[in-house]
Amino acid sequence: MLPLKCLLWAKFNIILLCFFSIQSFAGINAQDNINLSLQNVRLTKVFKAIEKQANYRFVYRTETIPDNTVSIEVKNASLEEVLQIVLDHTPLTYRKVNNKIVVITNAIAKNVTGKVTNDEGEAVSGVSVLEQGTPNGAVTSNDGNYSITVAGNNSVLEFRNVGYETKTETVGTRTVINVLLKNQVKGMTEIVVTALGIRKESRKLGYAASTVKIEEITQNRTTNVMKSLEGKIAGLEIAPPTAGAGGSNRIRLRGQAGFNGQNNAPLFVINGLPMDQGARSAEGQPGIDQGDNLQQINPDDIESMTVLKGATAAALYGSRASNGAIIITTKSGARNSKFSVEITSNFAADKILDYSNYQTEYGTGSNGVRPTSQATAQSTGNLAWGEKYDGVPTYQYDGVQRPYLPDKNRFKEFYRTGTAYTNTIALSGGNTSTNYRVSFSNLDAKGISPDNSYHKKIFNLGLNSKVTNKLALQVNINYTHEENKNPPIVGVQGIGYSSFLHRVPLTIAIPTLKEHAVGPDGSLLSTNPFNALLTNPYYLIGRMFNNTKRDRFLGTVSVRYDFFKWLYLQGRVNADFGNNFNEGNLPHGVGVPLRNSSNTGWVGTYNVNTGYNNQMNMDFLLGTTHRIGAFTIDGSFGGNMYTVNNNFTNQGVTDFVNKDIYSIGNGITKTQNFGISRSQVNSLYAFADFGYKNFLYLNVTDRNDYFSALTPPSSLVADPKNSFNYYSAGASFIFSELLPKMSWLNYGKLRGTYATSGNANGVPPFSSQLTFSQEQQLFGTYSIWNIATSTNPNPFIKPYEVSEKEIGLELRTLNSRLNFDIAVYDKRTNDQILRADLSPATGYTGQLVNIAKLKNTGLEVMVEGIPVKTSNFSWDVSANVAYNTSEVLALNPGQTRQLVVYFNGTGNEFLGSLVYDVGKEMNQLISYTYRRNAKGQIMLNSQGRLLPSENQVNYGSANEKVIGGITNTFQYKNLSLLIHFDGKFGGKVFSSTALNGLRSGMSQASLVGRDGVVFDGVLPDGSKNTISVAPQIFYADYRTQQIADPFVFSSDFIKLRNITLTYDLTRLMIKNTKFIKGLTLSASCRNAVLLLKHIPDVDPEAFASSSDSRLGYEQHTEPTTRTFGLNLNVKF
Amino acid sequence: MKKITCLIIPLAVVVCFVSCTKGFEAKNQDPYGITKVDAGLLFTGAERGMNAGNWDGEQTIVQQYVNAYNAGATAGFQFNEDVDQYNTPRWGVYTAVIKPLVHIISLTKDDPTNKNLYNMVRIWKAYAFMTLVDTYGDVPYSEAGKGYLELINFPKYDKMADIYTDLYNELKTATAALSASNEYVSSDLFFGGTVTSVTPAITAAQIAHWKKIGYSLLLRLGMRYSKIDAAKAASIAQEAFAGGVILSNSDNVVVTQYNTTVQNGFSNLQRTVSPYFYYLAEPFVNQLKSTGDPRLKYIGASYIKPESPFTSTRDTITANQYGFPIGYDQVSVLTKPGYRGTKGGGQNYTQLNYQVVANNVTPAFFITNSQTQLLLAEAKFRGWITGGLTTQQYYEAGIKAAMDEWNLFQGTFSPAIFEVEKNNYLLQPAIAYSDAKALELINTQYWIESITNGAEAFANWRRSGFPILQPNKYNNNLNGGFVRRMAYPNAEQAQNPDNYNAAVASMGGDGLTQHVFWDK
Repeated sequence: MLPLKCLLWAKFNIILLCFFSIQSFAGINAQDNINLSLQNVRLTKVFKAIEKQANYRFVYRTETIPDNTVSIEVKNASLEEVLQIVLDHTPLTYRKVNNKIVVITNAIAKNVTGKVTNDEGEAVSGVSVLEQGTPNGAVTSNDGNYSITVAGNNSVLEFRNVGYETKTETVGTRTVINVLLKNQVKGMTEIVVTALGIRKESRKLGYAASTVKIEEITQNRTTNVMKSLEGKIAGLEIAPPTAGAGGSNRIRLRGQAGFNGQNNAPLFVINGLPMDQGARSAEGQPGIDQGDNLQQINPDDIESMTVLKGATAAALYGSRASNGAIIITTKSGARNSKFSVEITSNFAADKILDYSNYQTEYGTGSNGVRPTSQATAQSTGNLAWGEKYDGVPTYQYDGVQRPYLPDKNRFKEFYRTGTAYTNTIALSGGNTSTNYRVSFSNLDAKGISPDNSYHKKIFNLGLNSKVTNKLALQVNINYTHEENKNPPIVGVQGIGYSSFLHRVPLTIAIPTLKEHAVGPDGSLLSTNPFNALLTNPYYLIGRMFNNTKRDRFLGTVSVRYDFFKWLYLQGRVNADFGNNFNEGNLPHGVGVPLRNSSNTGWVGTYNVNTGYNNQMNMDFLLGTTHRIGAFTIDGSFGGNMYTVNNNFTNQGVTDFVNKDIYSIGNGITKTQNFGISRSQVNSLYAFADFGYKNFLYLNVTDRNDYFSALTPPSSLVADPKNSFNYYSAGASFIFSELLPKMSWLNYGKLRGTYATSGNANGVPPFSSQLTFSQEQQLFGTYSIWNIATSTNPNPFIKPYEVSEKEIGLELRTLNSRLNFDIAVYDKRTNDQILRADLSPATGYTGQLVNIAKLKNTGLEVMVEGIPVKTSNFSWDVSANVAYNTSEVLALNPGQTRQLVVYFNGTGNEFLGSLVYDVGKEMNQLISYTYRRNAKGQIMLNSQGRLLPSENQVNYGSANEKVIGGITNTFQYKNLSLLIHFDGKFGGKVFSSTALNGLRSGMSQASLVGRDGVVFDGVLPDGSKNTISVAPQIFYADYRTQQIADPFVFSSDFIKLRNITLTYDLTRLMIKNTKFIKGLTLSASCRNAVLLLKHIPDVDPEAFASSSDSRLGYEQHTEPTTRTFGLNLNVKF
Repeated sequence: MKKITCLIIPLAVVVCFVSCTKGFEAKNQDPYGITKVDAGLLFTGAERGMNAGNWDGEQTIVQQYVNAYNAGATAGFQFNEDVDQYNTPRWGVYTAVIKPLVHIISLTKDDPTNKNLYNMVRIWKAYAFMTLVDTYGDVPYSEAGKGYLELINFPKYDKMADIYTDLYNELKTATAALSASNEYVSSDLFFGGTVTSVTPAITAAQIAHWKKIGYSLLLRLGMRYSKIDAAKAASIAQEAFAGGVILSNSDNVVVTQYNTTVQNGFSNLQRTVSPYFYYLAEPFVNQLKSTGDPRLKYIGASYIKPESPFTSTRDTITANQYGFPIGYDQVSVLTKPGYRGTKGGGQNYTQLNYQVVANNVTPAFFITNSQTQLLLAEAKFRGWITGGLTTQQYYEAGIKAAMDEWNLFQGTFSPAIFEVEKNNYLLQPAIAYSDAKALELINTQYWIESITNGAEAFANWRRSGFPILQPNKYNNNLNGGFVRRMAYPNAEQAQNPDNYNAAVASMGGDGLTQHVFWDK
């Protein structure tokens, strides 16, 4: 007997052991139980041996049995398994007449003919008729007839056509097979992969679940798979920053549920392995986006992708999925399929979209004067307050006089065409019990920045095996190697290339910068007063580097045992191991002397960071299904243990003994750091689906999570509240089942749900401890110690709760040619974990507290229609639109405003703040405005200069309220054309580019008042202002006073996002060669046209960060690009 | 049977799930996190972490220094603007200094083995709060630094006069309680250090130093009352003087350990971001130049290339130094009569001497012999102290002590200022002591001495009214007045709103022109 003692190690090992023991006695339950051990015998002998052991009788004609011999060694096998082995490589096949008689016959090639018709009784032409597992195929003619020669009675024919449900028919003894192809009615019998990998008919779901059309992400390929979903799914907001080839995306489902600092992206579940998005976004310094975990997914490997939007869908994934979940299943081949090879080859070229429109009338200089020497060219190199361009030779920063003229094509000259090559080869196949797929993918991308590149290799294995009738095994392995070189520095006043290009007047031409980057002593040749921030990119290229290498292994092993038809147990282990390496430097001579001040070394820095991440997920699920009359009950009970163990080592050096060697060994002042992070969440859950007939379904769930991160030292809190229980209930009512058959209403479903879910992701492990730290360097002979903790520990912190109400309606009308899916929701977040800023007078700068409340409410509509459909041509339209609005309901008692970031206070950004204000939409942009008198006139000081308002004002929310897209797909025979528009509306943005453009004299706006700004306002004595102020001084006050009015824009846009032309050559190829099973060629263009925007000089989507901390702030990112892609897919 | 076992096992696992959260407490402790330290170890950083003023802050207000570059990013006191980044550095004393000191106090309050440490901490804490009050007025005091220890997340602001009253008591009791028969504090950055064996003499020497620190601070505190309560000022000054104040440069409270690895960040911005934006101010240069002050060569320099002061030739000849005029920026100065024009990539005005005063290993002075001598000079002149030297003797000792401070700077002669230079300087008509100009002479010297301790320069200028400076008329923001205090950090409005609002109401506003209580 096993003692029922709590043994940590036992938890999941026991389950696995259990499965293996199940396997060993599985045969007891099998019907046949055949044991054979025969060497080189004729088949007839095998049949006789079986007859002796099992209760079968074989019927065959002796002359059909070939003379060759077989060897067989099986134990506890079934009849099917034995025959599978012995009949392989023979022309024989078999069928069971009943449980007693097995007839062995010769499988003879035979001809099958038939006609394909549709629901309306019309003949359907152009239908692909394929013999499964072979390259054999035919196409129906104009009258719907086909003719095909198949291998024998066991052959299976597959009938496929656009707009129809695919149908398979086993040939059997028939020679004429007429087929009725049903119009494709999505949703009616659609199977959706839901939480814990459970496949459910979508009709049973009480919540919104959208599936992604996989071909759209493979053909419109982006280096990060999620980017191609922008504008595709109602309620799924994708915002891709312009942060280089290896960048991340901002992904939010139904708005931002948590405050900044929490993980607000949905959970990704890959073959049952839950994974956070893990965006390593550019947030202020250093302004580098290091990508996210979704880089590890090859779009070619994806079999299905389901977006579970609401909290219910996620209730079962627990705390990590309170923002919804995106369930990805990768391919693992198909049963009974012959070995096949699939090759996908993709090429994409990125051309920059230059929306800059800087003034070309006035050149470098200050106070209306052009540079008169090299020194003044350098000290005014960031200002375009000089004279009118006249072509007269004028001093530039390198001391050379060149014609005083603008370089109007700066951005196009600097940035190159980015390229990305992706090649994937996949091998797959399967027999009756096992199927597999192995793929390897290689991506080589060059970013538009001259030194940015991104490479990745992905190996993927999927294996499904039915070990016995009752025991199934599933294995998925994904290994990724990524190399990201020199991702661009974006969104900060820093040494990023784009910052320089946007802020240094056009007077200096790109070729000059390129050829004259280095001064006589080998350091950066000064181009402007801020050389350490506005650095000539050509000095940095080749000297500065930032390289990241990342290896990641994702593995899932899942075992399922069906005790009975109505009871199964599933156990699963997920492993996620990652190894990260990053190194970077700041080279010698960037805005500082080459040698340090004590002349002991060469100035610069070099850092190496390594990290190891280990996440394990283990779960079990006991499931049952019952039918009692008209009622069905599906119930499950399960548990999960999620552990995280990470460690990191950072090493850095400042200044170097020898020049140009960036290494730890060559460094003078060294710092090292090592740390770990670890946490565990244990969960228990149960759920049940109740069905009545086929029109009424009820889903209920309940889950309890136990968090280690919420367990403070018992000396502080004896009985910590470290667990959280949440539940959901949903109902689905297919009212169309109760109505008489109507031609205009094919399917109607009303769904409703209420769900709660908890989230503790804002609470880092160990945060309940006060810790001390010692400085690395001795101070004289003293060691310096500090209280390292700056966030005041709060041992009473608990998870926040997300609750969501949702009502949805699905309608399929007019023979399913016009379909709707509408959802409204109200999502509330209570006890929000907020890092409340504390007054430094407390000694601390913040504390995590459970205080705030906010809500997101919204409406999602998806409409799909087929306006035109003939036998050769069809036009599908799919439109989605989502409206989401939020409101901050409460903060700390008495607190009305929570500061997210004071941009100007970061030292690297310039304007205003991002805040949460009670009673307002989330992510308010605030700053000062003009000071106005009671009449509304702008008040100026006695010198005619700007004055700020007494208080900061709200300029609106950075959040877009309406996001939508329309996809049109035109299909003519084998040619299809996809046209996708998308847009976002209702958000506001601060443009630092506009502010800098004005105060540096670069923007078109700076042309106003070149001879002196006489601003339209009143002086302190109430008279109208007549004082003229030098524009350079006047416009600088906008920054000083933080007056934001001229720099706030609507971030609305409409883009013709994608055009994709696809030609399916499969049918042509099948006629000509048996070798190729499928061939598709497509060409695409992404970001084809920007149809609407309001912000000057940049793309409204040219923002820097995928996080929530820089929302509504635009500052000097890389230009956006137009991508041309070619995609070839061949199946052998 | 086996089947039943298979059902039982998951149930066993369930039981484990529920009960096995017990290991969570250990799991949630960082095995690499240091959760306990000896209280003394926190003292060193708190001593070093004190803020001695900022070029763009106090030194700008008292017209020693100008940041001439105004493209919107650097407007501050130079332009009579209340810009947060120039108000907040001193507020950082709360996290850098007050937090560890309050923590040490909580650990040592009743610890007989740490009595001297406890009392040194109280003295140093008094220093910190004196500068906080001098800078802002009412500030969180009694509830400050107790976020973790007492869960005070919204500390109340105490009234500035009340804080001073308590500081007086703290300084008196803590200084008196220091005892050579208690422990030696090796972590004391000023007069401690690890020794192989602690002898009574070593402890006695340290305690003697610290008693002088305590009484010198008490003298400083007493003199702050000079405008509003002469009797109180006199009584505290006499009390401090009788206790024994710093009277030698070897008693100076100064951090000298800066080196190329751990630098003094005092002039970091000036050194790393375009040095040619920053100049000495005209009133300051004129004072030093007109009196042939031998310190000018260490404070100011004219570089051939203002943009590269680290590599280009410098000119420290007194006659060639010109301060940047007050009330102008780099654009408006171009049209000023007498504008001296550009030079290299900058202006033809005197910059900081980057090899000496703005070196990255510059010592940080907190309490000096010179300051004490000059305060005693004034106290003697006013008749507030009895005994000791004459006013003139204190005045001249104060000047000489200030000149000797330069011995601790890198890039100076040895000695930094020769005796003959000091004596010549004292003979200058504008410097030579006279009873008629005693207060102006004394406090002008205090102003010069405090070039690296802006907080003291700012406080003493407000207290004494000397030197006489002209208001900065760049704009009319202060209606012809001076900056009399710094505004609270903007974030206080959101982070501690009720207490902030109460303080603002109590002070009659949160602008640059409110006066602290002793500055009437």
